[in-house]
Amino acid sequence: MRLKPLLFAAAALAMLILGDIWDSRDIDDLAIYSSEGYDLQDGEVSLHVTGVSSAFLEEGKAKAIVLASEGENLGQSRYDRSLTMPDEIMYGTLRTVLFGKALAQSGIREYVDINFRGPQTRLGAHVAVAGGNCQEIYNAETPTEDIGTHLSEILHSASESSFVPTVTLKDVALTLFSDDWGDALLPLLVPSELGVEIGGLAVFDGDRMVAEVTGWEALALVLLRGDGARGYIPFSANLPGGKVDQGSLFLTAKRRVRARMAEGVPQIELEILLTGALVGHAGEEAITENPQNRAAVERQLAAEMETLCRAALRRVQEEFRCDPINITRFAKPLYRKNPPEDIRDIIDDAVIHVRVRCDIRRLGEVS
Amino acid sequence: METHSLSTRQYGALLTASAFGAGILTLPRYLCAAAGQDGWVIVLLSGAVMCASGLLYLRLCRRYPGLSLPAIVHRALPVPAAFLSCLLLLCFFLITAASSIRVVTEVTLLYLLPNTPLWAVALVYVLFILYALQGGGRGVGRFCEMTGFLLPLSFLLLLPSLQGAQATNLAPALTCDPSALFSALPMASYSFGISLLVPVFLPLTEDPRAAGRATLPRLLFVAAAFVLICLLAVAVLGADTVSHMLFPVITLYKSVTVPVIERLDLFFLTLWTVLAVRPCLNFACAAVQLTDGALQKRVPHRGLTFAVGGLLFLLMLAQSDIILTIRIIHYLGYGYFLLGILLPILCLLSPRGRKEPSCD
Repeated sequence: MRLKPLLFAAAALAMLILGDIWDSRDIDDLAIYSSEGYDLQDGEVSLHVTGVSSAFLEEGKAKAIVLASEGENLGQSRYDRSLTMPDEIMYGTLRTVLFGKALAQSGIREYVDINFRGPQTRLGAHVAVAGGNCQEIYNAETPTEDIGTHLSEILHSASESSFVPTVTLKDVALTLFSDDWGDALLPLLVPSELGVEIGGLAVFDGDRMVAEVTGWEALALVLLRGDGARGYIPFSANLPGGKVDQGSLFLTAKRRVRARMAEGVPQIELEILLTGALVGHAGEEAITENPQNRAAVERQLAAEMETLCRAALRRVQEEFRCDPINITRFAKPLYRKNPPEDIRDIIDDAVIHVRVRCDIRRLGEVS
Repeated sequence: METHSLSTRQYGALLTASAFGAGILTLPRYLCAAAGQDGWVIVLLSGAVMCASGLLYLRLCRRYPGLSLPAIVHRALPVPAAFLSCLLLLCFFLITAASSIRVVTEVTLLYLLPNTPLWAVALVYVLFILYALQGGGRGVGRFCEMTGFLLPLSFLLLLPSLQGAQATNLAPALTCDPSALFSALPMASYSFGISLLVPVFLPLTEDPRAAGRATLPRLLFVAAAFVLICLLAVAVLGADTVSHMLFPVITLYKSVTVPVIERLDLFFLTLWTVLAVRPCLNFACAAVQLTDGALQKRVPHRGLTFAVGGLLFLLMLAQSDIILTIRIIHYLGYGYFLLGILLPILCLLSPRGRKEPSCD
């Protein structure tokens, strides 16, 4: 008797049957979520979830539903949710994870852990803090798409044009699991007339949110962090001859860090290079008129940004006392012997110098 | 025992395939837990041990051309020592194969089939191994040769994770305590157990001289690839994070945020599952070849393969949890030093062996 064909048939059959017996799932039995949010209300964890599922099709278009469950802790709120909606959750489709402000201030470690631990979860899911609570964000009216898709698109595109870091679940987990990655700096979402907008940045010390920064200060922190952020920056510069030009630049920020030890104190030099193009201007004399005008704009913009960065740096060292600008990892190699227990602690004592340079490389097609 | 059935290419593919399995998925974790960002140094050290072991066995095979490993050991050592060595080698191959199946099964359960019972997944792997073993060393060699392209493909899929790499994660370099380096050496050496396959499969090759020349480059390639994977894991995730992750190499892939490629996670896992079955198969095949050689074909090949398959399944089920498997792997590392270094040295230095005419 020839055994090989028999064994082949048995192996093929086993692969087909065994795989299907225990792990086959009907798509209707799955809860396909695109976003998950965690809120802390009155000392209780309230878990708010928004999902897009084929079960919720309305006239051929996927409709977002918001499911909320509550409990004293994460486990209980999950149990509560399982009673409302017992479908198996597919974490592989999760695109955004939100933390309510109150919960972010009390600590996000266990909520990041539950997502990072699950083998299905996409580590590329975007993370943000809700300015109030997640439920407000999820209930916001969006003009075109469902809230799950809207959040994903806002957070995904943020770093492309608005000097807001795109932070993934992996990035946050790395800041929590090791001291190699500084502290987290997350986008802060607030409801707006057009649905949801990024209202600033949340500064974290370890797993707790310690401050909220907005406007120019947020921009300065992103420049100092240097995660290849880019976006529009307005300028108003005095040109040679006493004229003024105003306009807008689209710039990309790059950071170079040098660290050395001097008398036992880490000395860190940050050099920020802003390169980009002129988008438009509305002054008496165009910066394109002569090279000196362009140099004047570059010089003045660099000086303004340097002032902003120094102010932000002072606040980081004196008030936040954590590492949202991700520089302590450069100081780590300086401690070959007796390194501090948490390298981020050196932020208070380190001497940090910052220098900004601006290079407007293209002036557009109109001269 | 079959003879002259493996081409040099198949032999090389078999050696390389035996190194890249479930072990490399989890190895960076233990290295970083022991030596932090200097974990790659352990891989470098154990890679050197593996190359030394491979060279010793090559020398032994040249001294006794055409002889199987049991025959070589019986010629070089006294009968009790030879019997014990063969028994230990057989145990090493069987336990290595069973532990590898266990780890591959765990990966499959964790990422692909979470609700399927462990025995069912393991049974599929054992059935496949039984099927492949029917073709003998040549069948296994051909399978390794045919699936050889999967390895560079899986490495290509890992490369995009480089965009998140930070050179500072590797610094400060060479600050680790030497005792920590040596404590993790057995675990790393287990992953380099392929040098033990050299004396098993080299006598089966059509051109042992050419195959012998191909051995060292293969071993060096494996050592270099392991060092690179460890460096990549630390540079992308950081030593602290790597030491927390169960399968850092899979986390490395999951951390890829390049569009399209990030959606290929199931493809990557399936690919690596196929890759990871190969070491189980190769070590099982080595067990069959060794027993076949020791018993001098007194037992039919088919009966032997079924016995080995059954043993593998039982040994795999006997490992009550993955922690026990990891402990076993740690001890197998010590076993590797005994069988990979001490045994060939004893055989080469043995006065009985020296009486044999050298064929160099």
